[in-house]
Amino acid sequence: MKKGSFLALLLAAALAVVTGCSSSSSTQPQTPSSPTETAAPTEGGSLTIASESEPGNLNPHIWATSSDTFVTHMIFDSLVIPDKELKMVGSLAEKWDVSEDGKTYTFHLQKNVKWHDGTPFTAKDVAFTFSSLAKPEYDAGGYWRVSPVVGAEEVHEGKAQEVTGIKVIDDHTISFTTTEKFAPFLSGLFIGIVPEHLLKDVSPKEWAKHDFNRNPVGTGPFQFVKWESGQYIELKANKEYFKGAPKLDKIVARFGDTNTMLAAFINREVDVAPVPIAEIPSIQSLDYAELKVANQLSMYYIGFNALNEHFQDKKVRQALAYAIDKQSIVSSILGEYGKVSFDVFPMNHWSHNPDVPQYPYDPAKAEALLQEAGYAKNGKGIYEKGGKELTFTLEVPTGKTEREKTAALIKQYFEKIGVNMELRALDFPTLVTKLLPKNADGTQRKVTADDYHAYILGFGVEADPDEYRSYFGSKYMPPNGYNFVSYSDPEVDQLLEQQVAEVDMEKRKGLFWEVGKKLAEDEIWIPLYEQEAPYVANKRLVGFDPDFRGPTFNAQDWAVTQ
Amino acid sequence: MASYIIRRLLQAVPIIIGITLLTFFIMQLAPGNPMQTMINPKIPLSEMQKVQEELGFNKPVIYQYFNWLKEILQGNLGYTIKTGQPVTQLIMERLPATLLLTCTAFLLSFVIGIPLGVYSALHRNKTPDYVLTVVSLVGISIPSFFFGLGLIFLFALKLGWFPTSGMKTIGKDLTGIALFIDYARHIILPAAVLALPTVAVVMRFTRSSLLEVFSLDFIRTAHAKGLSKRVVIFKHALRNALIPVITIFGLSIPFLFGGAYITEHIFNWPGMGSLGISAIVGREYPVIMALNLFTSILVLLGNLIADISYAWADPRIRYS
Repeated sequence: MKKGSFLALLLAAALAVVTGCSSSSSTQPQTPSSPTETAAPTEGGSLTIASESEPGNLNPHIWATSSDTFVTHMIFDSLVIPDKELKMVGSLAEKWDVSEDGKTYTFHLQKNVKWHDGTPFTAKDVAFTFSSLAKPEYDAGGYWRVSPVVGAEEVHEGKAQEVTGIKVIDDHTISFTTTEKFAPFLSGLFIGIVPEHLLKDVSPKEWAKHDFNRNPVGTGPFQFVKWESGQYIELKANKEYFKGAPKLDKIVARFGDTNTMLAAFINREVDVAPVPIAEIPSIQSLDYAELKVANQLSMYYIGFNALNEHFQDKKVRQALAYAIDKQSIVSSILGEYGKVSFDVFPMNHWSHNPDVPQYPYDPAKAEALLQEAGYAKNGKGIYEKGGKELTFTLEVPTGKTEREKTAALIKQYFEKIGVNMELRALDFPTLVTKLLPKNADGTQRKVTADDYHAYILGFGVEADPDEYRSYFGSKYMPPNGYNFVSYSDPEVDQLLEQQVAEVDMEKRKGLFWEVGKKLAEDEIWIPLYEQEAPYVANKRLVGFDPDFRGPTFNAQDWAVTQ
Repeated sequence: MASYIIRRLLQAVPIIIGITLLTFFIMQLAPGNPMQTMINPKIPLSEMQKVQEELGFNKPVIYQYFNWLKEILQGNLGYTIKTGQPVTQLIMERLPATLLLTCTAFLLSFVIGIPLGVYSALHRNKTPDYVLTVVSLVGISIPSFFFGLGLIFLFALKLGWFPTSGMKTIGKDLTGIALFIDYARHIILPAAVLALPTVAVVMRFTRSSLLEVFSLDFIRTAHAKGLSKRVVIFKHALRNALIPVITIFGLSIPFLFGGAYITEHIFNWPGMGSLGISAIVGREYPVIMALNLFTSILVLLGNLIADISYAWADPRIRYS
């Protein structure tokens, strides 16, 4: 193995240095055959890719997080997958038809697909996967994918055994029928299919404890080999992969602290690592390093508690939006890896309307708006109305340096126009207890004006923007959903409900564009910026192309030049 | 002696229960539970609520505690909340790495600390003593994350002598001496970081203890008998001076295990420390509690061993 011999050489060199053969203090590890950009990719070879956190488990249906999908994307396939334009295209499904009434989807599956253990993949595996999600014993966060299907609710409530809306027509054909026309349905099928023959005798309640999580069998381009807890997961190529054998022989996924992984990259122990924006200069001088940037389909924003006496008035929210110099924030903190955002929908997503009302930096206008809203400066130079100072607390979850720096800058911008904002740093689970408050008995309750004033968070769309319904629809205020800003607007309510049943893509897009426009007008969220995710890759790796689907979704196309 | 040990072990039981009770309550004071770290607008809030109820998060803390205690007494450390892994297995996978690291650091502490302390005492108030004093003060006060990153930068990135992180070279099936060298190369930096503060403490302790012994009558007698300086120092003085140092043995165990949290994180060492950090961030109560239980038992055992060896080293001490 090439990597092995390199390490052996490194070891020899290190030993030589330790034993005093060399007194040179600048002993940079030298590669025997430094990769050149002209070298052609070879068949085979292995690759080490780093991630910040270790997967919890490798069953895609147990509370999947991005650290899980980082690995499971390579092991499992889904029926459909979003392409670069976020259109759903087939993966295990070769093609599909939608019935006239828009409720029945018939999938024609790929033939000659085999599980990694050699068993043929059939429509029964698909039926098994999605039926399991409907079972009452299943409680790991995937029921929403199947809930629109006829009969799923009955099964979920324990009133029926079979999801009647899922029909296996033959080994390679399966149909799903939804109760209503449901436009986001397809995107819910973007999740790994698991093998029936290995899991059929296990109650979904026991899935979380089953050995399959630590020793998964999928249909994907790479096959699980071993998992050394706390260190790495090793995968080998599935030479019989139905989309063509991967070029690499082996992929090792390593986990660890970002800075440690970056050091490991510099030392050529790993080939790909995520890199914090502030650390980019430190790797740019390396001749073997290449920066790859992934768009994230996510935006960062300030959310207001609409029940707060100051924020009930949209003029105040607009004034605060005018007071923030987003451009300076982006240039000073994110540089070329960020963009100013004006829309709650990410700008690379089809739901983004390029023509929403914008609030460019204009402190004079901000103050004018506050005065219009009935505020006047008091003796301390702070705006007040009815004897109440415009003072509030911004909750800032820790963990993302860029977000914390942004919050500090915003405080200064607000102070400049006479608004007093306190910052409160807290960890994410703590913030959640404020946004989704509970009664003393542990049940969820309504948000009140006192639970919080404002917060700063990021929001990412997975593929389908239907999730905004739960954030802005007035009937989804906690305890019924995630509208913790308590936003309520009949027009937005109607648009959001209408898009659900709109299967015509262009029309649906139009509806979302209207939502974006109205939300920008009301500015219940102040969109701040979008941030890209930079990765650093060794130049010997060819075909690494991370995007919103994560860094590993196209691993079957990767190759190395040595 | 046997009855003493049995009594001490019995005393440890209420102490451990007290520790777990306290940590369980402190842990629950931190707002948010594991399910709340996962907001997903696609999952109805009522579903999340149901899961939290099933896991018993809505029950009073004291009820949750006794539930946990009941399982522990049956030998069940529980399962991780989000991924359902058995906690026992999780800890057993990580324990060897942590033991390897802490034992290495432990050995280093005494192998380096004691000779330096002796050297320092023999050169009292001379330049080498001052230098070592300054070094030990720096060693005690330097934050381990800073020292760790510094070592990585210098020895891994600039000099390329050691790997930056991990416990072994991935993808190579080494055996025998090659495997040992591979482990050794990976452990040197983290063990050095972990050992540094203990080295400093052991050194200072040895120095002052030795100086105290030097001023005692029997040392003067030994000199007067015409014994060589070497015999006086190593046979008479040092043996007596090391008795208090033994206490440091016991006390350094919890210190090393605690320090391992940060050191393991920096060096990506696959031990219990890095497990603990991710468990705390993810509010994985069963893992946090299990680690806690484990560490408290270890600390109590460490203290007990220190006391026993104290009696063994100093015949004047008798436990009854």
